[in-house]
Amino acid sequence: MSTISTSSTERASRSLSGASSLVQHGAALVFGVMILFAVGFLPMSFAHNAAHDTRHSFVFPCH
Amino acid sequence: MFRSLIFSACLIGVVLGLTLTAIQSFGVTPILLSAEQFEVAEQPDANHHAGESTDAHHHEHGAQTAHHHDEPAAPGHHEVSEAHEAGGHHHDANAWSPADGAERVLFTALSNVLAGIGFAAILLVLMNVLRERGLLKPTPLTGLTFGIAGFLAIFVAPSIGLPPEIPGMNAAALESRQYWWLFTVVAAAVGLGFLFLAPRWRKLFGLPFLVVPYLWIPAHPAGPRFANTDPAAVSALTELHQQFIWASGLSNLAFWLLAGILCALAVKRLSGKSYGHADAPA
Repeated sequence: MSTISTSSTERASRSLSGASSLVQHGAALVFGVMILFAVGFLPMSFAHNAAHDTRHSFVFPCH
Repeated sequence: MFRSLIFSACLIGVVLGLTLTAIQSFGVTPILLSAEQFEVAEQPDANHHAGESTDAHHHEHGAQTAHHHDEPAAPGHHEVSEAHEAGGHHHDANAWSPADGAERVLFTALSNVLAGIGFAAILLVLMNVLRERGLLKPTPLTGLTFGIAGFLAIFVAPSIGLPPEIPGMNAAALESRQYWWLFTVVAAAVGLGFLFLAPRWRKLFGLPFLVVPYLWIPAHPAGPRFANTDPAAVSALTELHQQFIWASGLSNLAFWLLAGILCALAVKRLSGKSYGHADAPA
């Protein structure tokens, strides 16, 4: 994985927006995890039956 | 930023989900449908699904295949559907399920798109955080690397302990496998993160994360591998299972490589934007 050098001004602006960046990235992460939980793990039968082939394809534990 | 991430994830998820649906139609879906021909209801004397709680496990393929398929039934099929009618198992035959054919494909495509959106959102967040910290330059090549890491963490790592399964296989309790799956995937992702990103000897911190999940794997119940114990069915299912491991492996690899490239391109585009707008809050 390659690295890129960052200037001090970039670093300063990053720390300013750091908190907001953390919240926004965290929210996007939660969004992704919740969708995956619904597709792959919800135990209700309609969720299981609707997403059955997807669960098998991704090797989510099923049945 | 949040809005851009979610928008990109949705767009990428639609592309990924539809691509996966197309790839599945060649390998995964025909195998699943063939395996369902052999699905049986639970025998009272078998230790099939031992310890599995009934509310966590409802599906009606056994019932559905017993009544809907016109093809000659597998040997042993009839006795089994009689066992089902006698209430010998806990599959919820009244639960809604998409009808085989267009409806089932439609719901599978929809679930694939949702899974694509979910995985893309996580990949985009990881890549963008690493980019912001100067640890990642989003290019198609780093995207491919991420795709391979995703394939290793989400498909290969759990499959080492719990190989891909076709319908009608006996397995350990669903919940313990789900917890193990989650733990293994997270541990593998952390382990690979160390291996790829940590400097020099600190890469070694990744090894325990890659090994620990296999110290305990939810054991398969003793006894037959498949719920249908007819010898002809077992040999057909064994063959289907081998094919399924390859089919699901290859379709997952294609999914993850495409996911990695698309997410890298999206992060590159986002980074171009954020320099212009100073990361305006969404």
